[in-house]
Amino acid sequence: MKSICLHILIAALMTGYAFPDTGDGFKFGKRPANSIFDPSEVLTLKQQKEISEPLKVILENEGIDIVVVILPEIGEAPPMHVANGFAAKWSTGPAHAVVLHVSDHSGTPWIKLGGAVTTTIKPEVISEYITAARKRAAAEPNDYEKIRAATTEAADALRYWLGGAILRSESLITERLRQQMAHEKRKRLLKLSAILGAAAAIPILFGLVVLIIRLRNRGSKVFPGTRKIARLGAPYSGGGNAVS
Amino acid sequence: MKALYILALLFGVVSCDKPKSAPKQPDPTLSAELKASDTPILPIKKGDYWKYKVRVEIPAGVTSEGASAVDVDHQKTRTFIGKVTAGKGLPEVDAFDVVSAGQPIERELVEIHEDRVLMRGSTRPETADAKPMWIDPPIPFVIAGMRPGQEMANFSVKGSDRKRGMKVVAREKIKVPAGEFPVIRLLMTGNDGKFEIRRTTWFAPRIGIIKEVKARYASDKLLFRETVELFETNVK
Repeated sequence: MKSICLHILIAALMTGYAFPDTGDGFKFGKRPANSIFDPSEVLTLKQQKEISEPLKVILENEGIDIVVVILPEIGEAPPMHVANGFAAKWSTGPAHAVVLHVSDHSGTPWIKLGGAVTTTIKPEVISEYITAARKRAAAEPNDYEKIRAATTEAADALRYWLGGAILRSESLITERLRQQMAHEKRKRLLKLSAILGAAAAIPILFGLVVLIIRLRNRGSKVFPGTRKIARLGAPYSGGGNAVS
Repeated sequence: MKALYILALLFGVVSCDKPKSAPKQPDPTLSAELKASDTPILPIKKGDYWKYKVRVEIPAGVTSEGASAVDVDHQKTRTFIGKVTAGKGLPEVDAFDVVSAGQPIERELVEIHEDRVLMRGSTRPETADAKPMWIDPPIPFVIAGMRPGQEMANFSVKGSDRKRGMKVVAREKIKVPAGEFPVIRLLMTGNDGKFEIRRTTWFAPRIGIIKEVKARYASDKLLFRETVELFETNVK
């Protein structure tokens, strides 16, 4: 175990050049203006332009940021660790990628995808896509074609996933609006039924009020006052004068 | 008097219940706008044609050991021939004849609807005993209003080990010798047995296929790549 750790440590020390420090010790400086870092000039200027121009358009139009890093060697450093270091320093935006190419390394190029959009995709989906994409890019016959293919693969994947994320968020917003509208509709119906109920109660209340008023005004008719003048009935029905 | 007061109160409640602002209706989606602008998706007539520049690249050592790389250019013409039947018992479908120098004519079979084009297969009309490759049910190739992030059906062809999956990658503008076009960028990946396929198609609604890049791989090697670009068409 000790010897394995020692080997890893020696490898890490020996590959100091290619092992970018993701902290302040990052030694590759500023990101190149054309998004292609190629210190050993593996690509010609024309080839760089052919790769960087479509990437620039995608960055401007869709905010998808792809950086190409071409290194002469990375020693024993894990390629994805190297790519991560560049991504941490140079990549921006919600969807970004680093395409790392190391000319004499088997398995080159590598694609590191990142940004918020990748968090919306299952890791196994990303892994499956990257494996297939890397395999196709690695099958290309020369450095230029490998890099061009890898950048196209990375851009296609990010554009597709970003588009999917936008569609999903739009459908969520639409669904939320639909629910809100249904809720508002229910509220409106309840309000309307309350108003109609109240409107129906108005004539009933009116009738009740009228009835109450009438009943109150009837008081003395129901209970007539006591007669104060004596009235003679039969057998004196001839009237008061008959007696006198 | 009290009764009048109650009535006034009731009317007051009713009249004060002003409707609050209704919830915002979802904006007409971009999809709906795109769909309208994409429709009819392919308004073509018999005899319409599309002429393409074709570049074929075959890396060194693919055709035989030690063989040098091949990089050749030629032309290809796609012509709409109207409705045909691909074989006995098969329904009539829309067809394009694709003619390349030194190659037998390939007939592409599709169904063109107002808002979509469906793939139906292909055949070689000049080869007497050629069996058509028939796709049933048909597979959507392009649909009006498609947007990036949409995935078309994954499918396999009956009786073969062909598998395909198609995705909408982007809506973008593309420049080819025939001009600049707004297009839908479609990515098809899959395999024909042991051969892996990657095909990117740029389709301009109302015009047709503007560009295609087809690549085939086997045993971790690129076998060939064909890049097709439109340089002339009578469809406007």
